[in-house]
Amino acid sequence: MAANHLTSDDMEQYVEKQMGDRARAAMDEHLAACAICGARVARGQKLDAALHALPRARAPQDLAARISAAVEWRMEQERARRARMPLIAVALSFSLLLAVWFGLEMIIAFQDNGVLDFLAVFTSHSEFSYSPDTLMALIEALPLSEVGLMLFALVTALVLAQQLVDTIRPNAMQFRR
Amino acid sequence: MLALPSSDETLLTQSKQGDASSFRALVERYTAPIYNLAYRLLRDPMDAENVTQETFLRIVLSLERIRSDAPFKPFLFRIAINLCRDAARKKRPLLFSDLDSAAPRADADEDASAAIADDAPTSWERLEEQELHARVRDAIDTLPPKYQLVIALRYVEDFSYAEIAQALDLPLNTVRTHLRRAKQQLRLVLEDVGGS
Repeated sequence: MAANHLTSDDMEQYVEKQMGDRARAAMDEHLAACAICGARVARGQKLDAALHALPRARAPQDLAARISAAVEWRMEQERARRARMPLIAVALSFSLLLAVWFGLEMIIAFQDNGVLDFLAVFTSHSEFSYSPDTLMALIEALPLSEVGLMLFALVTALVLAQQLVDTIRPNAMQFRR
Repeated sequence: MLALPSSDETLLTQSKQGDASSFRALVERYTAPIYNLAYRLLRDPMDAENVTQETFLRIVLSLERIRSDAPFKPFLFRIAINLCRDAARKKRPLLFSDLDSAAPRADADEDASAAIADDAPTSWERLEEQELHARVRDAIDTLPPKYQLVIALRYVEDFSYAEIAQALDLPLNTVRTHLRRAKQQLRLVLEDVGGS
């Protein structure tokens, strides 16, 4: 038995107490008879003891309390985020509807004011040349209020859509950073 | 009669149901071990604090998606280890670069370890206990980071092999191999130092 010395694997499992009772008993029997293996196991145990005695870093005393406070603050934010989500979704839908509505109003106003006809004539007849009067006539024909309202509703919808994405996936930006 | 402390999984389930005190209990239970590991890996108290806090914030943000039936501790440490890797990468790009690569001399040692190994004379055995502990501390610093990590989890955090495997997402046998190679390398370093 003593001739068949322990392998490193055997020794490791023995020292780490990772073997079954029977294998351990057989190992004990061998170790009782074999001084070489006994010395190796003792060495392994000594190293293990030194490893178990490695110093632990001491966390600041208030760290757990600070983390708990940060976690609760984050949970509060999370609850507020969830409460905000339906409101943002409703506001977004409303803004989109307004943008569509003002868009249609703008198209109708373009047709009513004859802006499209004006532009068609201006571009197809070369005898018309640019003059301050033609420019003023074009500006007067533009439905500026409808264009402004439609753009305002569109920008509002875009901002709200961004808000909604941030609310649904609050960590997306953080993880990207 | 003293009440038994709740298991991690019970506290996790209660946290999921909105019980803030349960999550606080988890924070109190694991702040020191996570800080300890993060400090060991990053060697910077501020970074270690940040990693510890961020670990719990990540957990609280993904609370609904965490499985209550799986062991919580390895999952928690996996997040902490990944955050340490990120922090180390930002700070010193090479520190953790070989976490997933094999150490060259360890492969050479592997065949020998299957047979009989380390019969070399061991001068470190003659060292006094205090001196040996100091030498072991220094010797660990010379190990590749992935070996330092398994050593820290096994001997400082008292993880079982299975918990290390879950925390590092490695097969159990790979964990065994990492630990064995880490200790072989430690012995070699100690013998060099002890002999000199």
